[in-house]
Amino acid sequence: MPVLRLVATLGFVAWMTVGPVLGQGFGINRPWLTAWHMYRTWGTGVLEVRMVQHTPHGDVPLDRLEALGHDGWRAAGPDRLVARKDKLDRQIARVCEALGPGADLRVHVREGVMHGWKPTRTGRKNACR
Amino acid sequence: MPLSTDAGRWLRHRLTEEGPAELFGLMRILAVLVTWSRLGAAMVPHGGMETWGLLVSVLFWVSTSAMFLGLGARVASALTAASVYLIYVDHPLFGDEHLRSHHVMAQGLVCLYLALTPCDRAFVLGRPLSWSERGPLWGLHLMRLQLAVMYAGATWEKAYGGWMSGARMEQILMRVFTGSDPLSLPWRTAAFAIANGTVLVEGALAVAPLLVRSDRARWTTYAVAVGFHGLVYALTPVSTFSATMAVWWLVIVPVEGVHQLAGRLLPDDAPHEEASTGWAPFAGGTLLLVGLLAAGPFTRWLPDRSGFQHLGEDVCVVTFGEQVVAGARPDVKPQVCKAGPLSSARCVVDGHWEDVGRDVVCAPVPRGPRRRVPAR
Repeated sequence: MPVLRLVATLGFVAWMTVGPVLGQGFGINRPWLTAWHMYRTWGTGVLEVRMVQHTPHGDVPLDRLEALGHDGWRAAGPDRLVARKDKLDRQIARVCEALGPGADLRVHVREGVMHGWKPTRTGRKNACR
Repeated sequence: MPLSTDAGRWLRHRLTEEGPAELFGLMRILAVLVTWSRLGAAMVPHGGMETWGLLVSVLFWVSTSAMFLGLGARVASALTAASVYLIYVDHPLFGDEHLRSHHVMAQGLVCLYLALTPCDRAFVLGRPLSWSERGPLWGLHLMRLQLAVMYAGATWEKAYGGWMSGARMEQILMRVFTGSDPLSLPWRTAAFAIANGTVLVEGALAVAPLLVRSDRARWTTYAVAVGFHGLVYALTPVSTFSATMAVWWLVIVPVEGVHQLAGRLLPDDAPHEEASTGWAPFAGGTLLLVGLLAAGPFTRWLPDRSGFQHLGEDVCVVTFGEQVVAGARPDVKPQVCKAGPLSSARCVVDGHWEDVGRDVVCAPVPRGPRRRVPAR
């Protein structure tokens, strides 16, 4: 039995398995250990935005990108994606300006988190006021 | 472990088994090409590099070049693995936080394990192209095990409610493709199917390197693995990781089959056995895929995806008074930051134009070859 190869093999097997167990099982990550955090947090922080115009006749869904002045989804460019609260606030201000004075805009927002979606705005108040 | 037991005999066979070296020579060359494609730009020496960064850069270029040519290939592979690890650990020196990624770690691991194989006994400078010798295969078995562990880890990472419900995939699809409007039912259904399909495929790929035996099973596994990574490459900004895995998956290819194929493609005076069927697609497909992925222009053929817009990451357009200044942030900053209040400023942040404040435009520019606009 080639002892050196046996020892090296056992060492490599221990190293390649301990890394994921510690890193992914117990959150102990070290640069000299391997852990396979594929797509762990990527995409979290995305805000799902649904806008509704409140009228005396009921709620009317509002096309956010159209209200922002874009001619279609492709032309909307960077306005398509909102991942920060300050950007959302700026978009709401632009939509309110486009709707004119007296508009009643209800904004429903969910933030992407690890366990799914977390509601951050429920549209109970007029966002233009 | 007593050698008289079946397990003992199996272990001894695994540790002492020998085979031809063409597969490892091929993997060695492909691994270098992918490594250059992923890390080469960041490792070009320049005046802004610190001394340690320059040393790592020199180690990187010398070891990868020797590995490519087959000069002291096993030592060169180990040194390449060391340099990739140093890049992974000391990524701030090279101005790119994306270097601290399991993608880079996976590339370093290929080189590390290749150092345990007879990768210096085929496709070596100074020898005829058809020359090869036999060598120990225990490194190959370790690579197969490492591959299985990688996919087991990737499967484990996704085995939680947020992923399996499809919600995390919805977030990724919105981030890369659709934007912040609520997804329609077909998109949500697709997200659910992709999320669960990914777990199933990765789970299967975790056991495949240890279980596949027949040529047909190996061909199917290789096709599924490379097809899966090709799809991931086309849909998300994973850079060269798909090419890295196309190289990794060559470890399930039978070494004798590659030997026979090499004998047919690179004839010498000695007669060779008839090559087994089905090996040309392995070699040809791998070369084609790695070539396409490494070439970079492939991304330009795909539809608009914000995740790929790394180019222009530094660009800003700044207005102050009646003047407009545009260009890379390090160039714009000295012109505008002493000029008083800015009327407006827009910079490319994470692939998107963003309205930013003076604090972003005038923030210190990190040293290194790739200088990103700091997130607010």
